Amino acid sequence: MTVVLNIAKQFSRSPAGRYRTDGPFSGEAFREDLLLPALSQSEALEVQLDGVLGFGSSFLEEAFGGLVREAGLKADALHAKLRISSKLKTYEQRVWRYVDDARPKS
Amino acid sequence: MSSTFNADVLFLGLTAKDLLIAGGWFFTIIGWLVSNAQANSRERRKEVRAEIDACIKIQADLVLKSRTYFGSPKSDQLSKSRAAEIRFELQRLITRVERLEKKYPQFDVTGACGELMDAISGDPFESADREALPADSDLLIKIEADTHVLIDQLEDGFVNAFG
Repeated sequence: MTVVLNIAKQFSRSPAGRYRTDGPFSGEAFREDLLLPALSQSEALEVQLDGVLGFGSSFLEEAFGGLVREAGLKADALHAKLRISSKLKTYEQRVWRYVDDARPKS
Repeated sequence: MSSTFNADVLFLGLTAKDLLIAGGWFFTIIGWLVSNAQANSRERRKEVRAEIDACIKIQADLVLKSRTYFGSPKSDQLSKSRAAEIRFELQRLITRVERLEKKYPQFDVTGACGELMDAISGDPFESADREALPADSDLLIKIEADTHVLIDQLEDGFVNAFG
């Protein structure tokens, strides 16, 4: 069963910043508090980006690229399990680019 | 068996007079269709040109706002609201550019739009330890260069779509 995670409704309409030190609604906070738990508890996860007032690349990179870099998940596994839903193609393409470009921390 | 031949009938039972009348109507309708299609095309062209100009204006605003934002230190009181404005305008730009691309396949701008988004809102955007950047910093120059790329791609799309 697909679990749905809506950033605007379940996290913030105005997410901002990369690290927790940058603010309460950072990419790191979203990844650690919502994204990773949802991924580990579901067979398939849909993350909905619509409804947010605007994303910064630093937020999206830390949230999604961080799944590979910080959490050590494999990009292939994420492609199989994660679905990004957005009216804007640019956001969706960026998210997958961050996932594909990220390298695990050695 | 007798048959009658009417020398006035030229085609499908129509006389020369009938054909002249029908031909007049035919060419009037064709002329109207052609002129209507041309007027529609001119209107579409104007609308797309106006949309491109609006996108270029948003980009120029984004460059100015980025210069102000990155040129002032994080401690600046206005830093947070400037960052929110930049995120908002970026989203408006992406929405409008993607709408154009969806309607006219001659536009291929999503990639350039993403690159500009990364330049403006990637690190050190909204970072707690951000410092003020000089006007000739690599980041500000990259933002301007990526803005040019997107403007050029919009203009190329316009030429491809409307000649």
